Amino acid sequence: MEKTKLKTESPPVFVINALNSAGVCMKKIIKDGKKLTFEINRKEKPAAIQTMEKRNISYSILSERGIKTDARRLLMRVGMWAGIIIGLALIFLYSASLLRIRVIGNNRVDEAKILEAAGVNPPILFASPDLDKIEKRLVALEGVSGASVVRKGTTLEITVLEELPDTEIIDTKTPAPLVAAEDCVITRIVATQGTAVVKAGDTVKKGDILIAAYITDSEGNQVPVRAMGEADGMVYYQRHAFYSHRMIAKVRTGAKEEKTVMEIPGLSYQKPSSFVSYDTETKVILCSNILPFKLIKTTYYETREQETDFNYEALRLRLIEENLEMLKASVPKGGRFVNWWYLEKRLDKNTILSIYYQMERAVAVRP
Amino acid sequence: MGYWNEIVARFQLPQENYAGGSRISIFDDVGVYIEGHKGMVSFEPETIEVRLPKKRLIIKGEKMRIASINRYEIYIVGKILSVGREE
Repeated sequence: MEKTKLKTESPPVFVINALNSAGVCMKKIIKDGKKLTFEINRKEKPAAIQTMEKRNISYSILSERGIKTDARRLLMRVGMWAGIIIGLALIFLYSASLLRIRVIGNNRVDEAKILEAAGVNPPILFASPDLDKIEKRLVALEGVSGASVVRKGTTLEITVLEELPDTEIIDTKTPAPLVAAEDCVITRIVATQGTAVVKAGDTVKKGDILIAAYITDSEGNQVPVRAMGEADGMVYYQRHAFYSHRMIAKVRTGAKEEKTVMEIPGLSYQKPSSFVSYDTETKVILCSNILPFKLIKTTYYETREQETDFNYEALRLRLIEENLEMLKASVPKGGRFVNWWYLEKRLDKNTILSIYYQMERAVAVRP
Repeated sequence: MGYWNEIVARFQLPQENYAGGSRISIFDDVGVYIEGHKGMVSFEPETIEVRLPKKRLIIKGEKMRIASINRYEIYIVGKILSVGREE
């Protein structure tokens, strides 16, 4: 409903009766002091104005409301239209751009090689890569038997079908012994072909022969064979860490500076800090779900080196745990965990922490 | 009372059949609805006078305003204190 709100300071009864007799329907008639405000239907506005001008009633239009009026008012808003146009342009730009590549199905072929062969480096504005050519380049890659390239929105999805690995041919004829892979104490040895030269409980070094490549016939002659069998051994891994009672630590000087950067996928530009030595704290200020932008604020705290006391006793449990984790990470995979322990040797100026990790594992390998 | 209106009254016909008269409806103390008015006599937030065919209707109240008005009906809203007639 289109409505017009008017104001007049003429005698209210005169105005109401004049408009009423002219057939104008009035609404929300309010008298406030000398002022009279009322609303009329927009269709009746010409008749109302004509009546008021004919009767010398002074009036002013306060506001006009309604779908058409509001739409007309919106049409006049340049800023809003500029915003809509910019928004549409950004959406078009975003949808026409290629922002990332996703590679699926590669286990042995390096992703970097696939991306290099694809020859597309996002982000690219108004990208329309030739998908057939990319597929052909990928199929020509060593280790790739098939490839499909599909564009999904702003992402280029590359699905790779890899060639089957070469069949491993196991030599069972050529005479060769089995040797120890690591320093260990043998716990079990079974020779299915060849002659076991060590027994359970023996200590061996890495490279020592466990199953020799011969068998002895009934006449005492050594007949060359390819040694085959299994051997398990108790292996001990160790790690030593030295902790001085004085240490150089980085402490904050109190000076800091903040830098804010807009991060766009594919474009990572970090403003350098003016400090020589610093700590950083990073915080994401703005993150949009629609557009791939992030506003990141990085705070740089200037630091300097300072010699301080190192309290080993206060940190020992954490240090033991950290060293154990590092030792476990360096241990080859496979085998059965048996035990772990640690030793601490406290000296005048430092402390030596030794971690030991015991495992039982297969140790027989071909030299 | 006119001839037609007398017939309506005698035969107890619905009141809508009254000719040339007016009808006043009062909604508690929040509104007055008047049909068959002949124009406004005075309009103040505290007192509103409406001309009816043979008399004047005086409505007293607080912060009264006219919600709508056309040739045949008026709807007055506000805090209604009294509704009276003046010959």
